[in-house]
Amino acid sequence: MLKTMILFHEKNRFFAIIWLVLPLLLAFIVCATFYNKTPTKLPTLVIDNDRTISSFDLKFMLSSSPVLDIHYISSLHEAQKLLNKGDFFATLIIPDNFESNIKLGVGAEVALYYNTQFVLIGKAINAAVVEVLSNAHTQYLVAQNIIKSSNFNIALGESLPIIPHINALYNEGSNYAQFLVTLILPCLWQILVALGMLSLLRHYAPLKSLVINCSFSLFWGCGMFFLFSMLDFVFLGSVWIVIIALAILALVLSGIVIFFYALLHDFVRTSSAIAVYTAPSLAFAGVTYPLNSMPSFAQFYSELLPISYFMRIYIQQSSNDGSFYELWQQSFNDMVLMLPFGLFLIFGLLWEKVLTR
Amino acid sequence: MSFIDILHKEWKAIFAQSNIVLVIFGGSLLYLMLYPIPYHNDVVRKQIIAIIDKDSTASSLELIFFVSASPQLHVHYVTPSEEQARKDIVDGKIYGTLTIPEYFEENLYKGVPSVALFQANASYFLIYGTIIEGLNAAITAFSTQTRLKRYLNKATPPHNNDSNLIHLESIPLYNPSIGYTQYALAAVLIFVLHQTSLIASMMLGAVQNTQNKQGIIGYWNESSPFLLILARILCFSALYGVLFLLFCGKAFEWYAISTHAQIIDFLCFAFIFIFACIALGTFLGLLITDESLPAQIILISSLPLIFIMGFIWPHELLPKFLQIFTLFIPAYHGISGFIKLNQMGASFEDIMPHFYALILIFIFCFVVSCIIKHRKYVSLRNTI
Repeated sequence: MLKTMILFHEKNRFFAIIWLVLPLLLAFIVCATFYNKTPTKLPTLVIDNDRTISSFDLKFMLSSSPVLDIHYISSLHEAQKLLNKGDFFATLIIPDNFESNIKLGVGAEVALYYNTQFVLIGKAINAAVVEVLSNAHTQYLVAQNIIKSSNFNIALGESLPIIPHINALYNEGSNYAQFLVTLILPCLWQILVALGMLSLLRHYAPLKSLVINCSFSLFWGCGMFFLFSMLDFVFLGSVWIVIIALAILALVLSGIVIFFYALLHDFVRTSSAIAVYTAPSLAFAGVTYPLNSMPSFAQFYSELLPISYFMRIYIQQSSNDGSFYELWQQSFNDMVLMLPFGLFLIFGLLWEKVLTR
Repeated sequence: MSFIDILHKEWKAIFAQSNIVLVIFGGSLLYLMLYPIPYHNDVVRKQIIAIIDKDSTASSLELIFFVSASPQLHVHYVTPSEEQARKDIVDGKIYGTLTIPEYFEENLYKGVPSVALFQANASYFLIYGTIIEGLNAAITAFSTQTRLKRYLNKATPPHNNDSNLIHLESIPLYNPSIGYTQYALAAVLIFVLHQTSLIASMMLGAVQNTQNKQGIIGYWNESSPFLLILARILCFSALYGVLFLLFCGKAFEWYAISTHAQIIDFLCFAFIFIFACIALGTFLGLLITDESLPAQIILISSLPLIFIMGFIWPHELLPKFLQIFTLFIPAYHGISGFIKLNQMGASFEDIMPHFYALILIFIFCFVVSCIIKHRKYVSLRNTI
């Protein structure tokens, strides 16, 4: 048994690399990339033109935000240069007369210049500053109102009529690792499925390759799943449904490779075709950028990629709990929509038959 | 063989391989068309939410009015019961809810703070962010108005408008709409060129290695290694120079991506970037003998690479070993340099470290390629 396996791997060296080395290596790199989970300690400049107790307080509050890494600087010109250079992501300017304007009740304007070229970083900084400033704002209002009412609760009620309470469903703490790793790894997995299939087609008949490749794919698909649970990613639904979806995905993707190969009959072209087909799947899967904001052609293209259906099933299953029947009902639609891709497998096999004849 | 001869033969060899031509032109242009499509609308708007109104009073209606006026939100329906909304979130029909608590109006008049519950599906980050942002803005506007009303009711309204005690003026730089086109495309298009240039230059090496294996000896075995590598880099660079001008000139204009760089700075950096990419591809191509490998290697590496390039996830937050690893990849220096130069208006001296790094990568790959080629050359001579 062991001997046949070793022989098999020696014959298919690239296949062995794909299914023995790459899953571990790629998973390690992707998980390491996001080991910080949320953006923290983003270098931010503060220019304090006021230098009073209030501005000092504000700076203290800013520096206690985990998202920001505050550095002080005095010249706006310098700050602009540092921003352009990319060393810092934002500059916050506390105006002169900040304290006196607040005490007079005239209002002070704090300016935040932030880099939105890197959208994620920009948004994180802006959100952190908004949070700090609205806290500071409430503090000042409470301080003013408490003088009038001398009751803390009334003062708080007057300053803050509505307290927003934010509940991030299915991903508490807005963990980027969970968001991106659960998307990137399935996308990488499908690329490995396709390339594994291609490398087997060199030596074996399509059906035999299909069986070998699907079993390896399913093994590592389950491994990926195990990794997610090790990393404590939220998963409420049924593992079995996701595994069934993985099996279908592996099957239809291998089928698509058989189809490409039957059509092109050339390894170089088939590998290029696989690259063209699978590489943009992350952008089109509709997770990073919502499907409903894409133009209709992009939505159509997304429907042509089996991974889009799988991602929908995964997200449904990870975020909902219930009985197996309920969960099955939720994902049934997307599961069925993956099946037409199986036609590629049938076409591919038929075409192969015709050619060999 | 003279250098001109080698150049001529290299040029012919590239165009004789339809697969290489397909990668250079077909691949690059296809991705140029395909990648921008999802981000066509640039910013995410009108995310669908439901409002659970447990109060049903004039004040709660007013709050609903504020929420529906937000450009980020689309209120699908207002319901008094949680159940319907919960079911729709599960089914993916809506992505968030706002719950207005009971006694909302009463509490407003009493001056007791009430808690408004925002819920949004954080499985889709962009949708989640948009919903929370929209709800926050609506609630802030509503609170301000409530406070103003309170003051108006008092006999002596205050002389100031305290809703603006601290007003934050957020000024987004470099990408004013905070849109996806400017953010993703400016980097991804450069990455596409990097990847296809690697595939193409690796392929040529692989093809020639395969032919050697079959016993075919060509001009690449007979010419001086130094001149051959130089010719190869020049030929590919000429092709990629044209593509670069198309991508960063015309395409950026089509997709309305800003181009702040000085033309001379830009060209200088572009040339060394192309040289570095092709040199790396040439070097890797000498090591492989399977023509179908380049596309597969690049395909597998694309996804992990793009996330460590520093534009999606901050480079500073990567673990040290990945930070060091990126320093050896031309795309990291290319993307960082081009974005700083073109989008952020940095001067050329600000991106000098990237420029030097690209030169080092180029020299290293060039020298190592020459050594490998020279060894093959010598061993071939000996066998003959």
